[in-house]
Amino acid sequence: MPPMAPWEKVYIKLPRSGNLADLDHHFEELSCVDCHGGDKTQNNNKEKAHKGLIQDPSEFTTVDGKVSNSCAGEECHTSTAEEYHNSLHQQLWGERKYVALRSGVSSFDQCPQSTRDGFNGECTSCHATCGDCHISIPNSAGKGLVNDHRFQKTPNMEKNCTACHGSRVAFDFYGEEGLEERQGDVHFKTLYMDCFDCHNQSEMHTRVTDTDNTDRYTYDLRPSCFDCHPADSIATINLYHTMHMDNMTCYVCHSQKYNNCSACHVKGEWKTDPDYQENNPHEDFKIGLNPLPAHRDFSDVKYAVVRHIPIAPDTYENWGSASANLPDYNTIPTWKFASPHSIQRWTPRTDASPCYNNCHTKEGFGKPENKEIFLFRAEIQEKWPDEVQANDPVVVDGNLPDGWE
Amino acid sequence: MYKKSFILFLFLLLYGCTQLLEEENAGKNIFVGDDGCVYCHTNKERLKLLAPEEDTGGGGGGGG
Repeated sequence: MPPMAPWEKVYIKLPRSGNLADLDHHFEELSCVDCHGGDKTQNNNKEKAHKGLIQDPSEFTTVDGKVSNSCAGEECHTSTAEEYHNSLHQQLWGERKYVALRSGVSSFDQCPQSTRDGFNGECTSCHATCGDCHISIPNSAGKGLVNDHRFQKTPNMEKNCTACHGSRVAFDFYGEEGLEERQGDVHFKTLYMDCFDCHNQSEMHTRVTDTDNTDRYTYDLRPSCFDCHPADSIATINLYHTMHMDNMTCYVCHSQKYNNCSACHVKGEWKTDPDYQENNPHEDFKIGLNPLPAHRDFSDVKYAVVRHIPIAPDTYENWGSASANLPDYNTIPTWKFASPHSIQRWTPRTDASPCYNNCHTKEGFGKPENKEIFLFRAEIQEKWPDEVQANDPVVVDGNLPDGWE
Repeated sequence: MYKKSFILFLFLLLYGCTQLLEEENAGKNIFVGDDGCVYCHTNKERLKLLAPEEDTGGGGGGGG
């Protein structure tokens, strides 16, 4: 997405009538200052006009113990805003859950104060106000009005969704010219589907109730491959499905290479640590043991695609001494369940002759060089020696058929 | 052939006129009222003058 000039970010092109109310019905009753504050009488003094300006009125604030924003005004979107404030997308319940588990507690509220403050100051700073989806390019992606100042019921896929979900989802979904294994996702490239065909309003807006145990994969409103491809209808459709569907996630066969991350998420020295930057981001494809037995769709599945995530034992050190150590770091894999948005029917795994040639590793029944698509302990030992123990439940060592290792 | 050319000519003429009108309005506060916010934020030239170049907004998109 090309960057916008500063003036362009805040420019509103009026409709031909010259009436702001014709741009969007919200302006029939609301003026700019009703939401943004400032002083509308100061035509010729920028500083005075912007005094007390609220740049993003849809940001949630607490007043007299009550959390609210400008969208939740009386007779407006009160219930939607209340629901959204507790949603997965707004609160990052999944991230909170894993911060808590690595900190050795069962709930985010039990984490050290410095961890909670650090998380709320950094991690949640980009996730995501009502305006970030419905009015402007998200703050964390550079800001700027998406469609003048229209309140868009449906967000803009490029300027809203993938403005934030860029380094992973966007590259996978849109594809990259010239890279053989980055052809984009068939749902986008061929079927012209967008984010909202799978991720609907309910998933984005609805409040999470079990906040300590919910993440994107256990969330009951998340989309599923089987919503459109019922398991019964595809279970015996070909030999691959007959042999493997009960034992693997769909992504093991149908996703292409995807970005893996080792750095960048937290400010401070670790972000630029050369040891981590060396492999960040790196394109890869790895099959490991399913790290998510609680997954809604793949609870009984043995093999899953896994992605490296940027977490080190001292990731939160700069938040304070109480956050410097993650006592249960070694109990949660740093290669986590992945659902790459790079689905194709024919991938390097499925487009093979004979059919097992690009996956199986046994000489004569595959190729030993196929071992590179599996996650082995030796590779972690070599590249991320601090993470060997954490990934014991995910590595395939000792879990492949006889003669494969 | 002449008919098609004439229709194309009319279309271009109409488009050109609307562009001229828009350019003429670009520097004006055509919003009726005393709203200073609209006065500036609908005026491209004024914004270019006032919006500092160093205000690049925030960081780049990154996450998952």
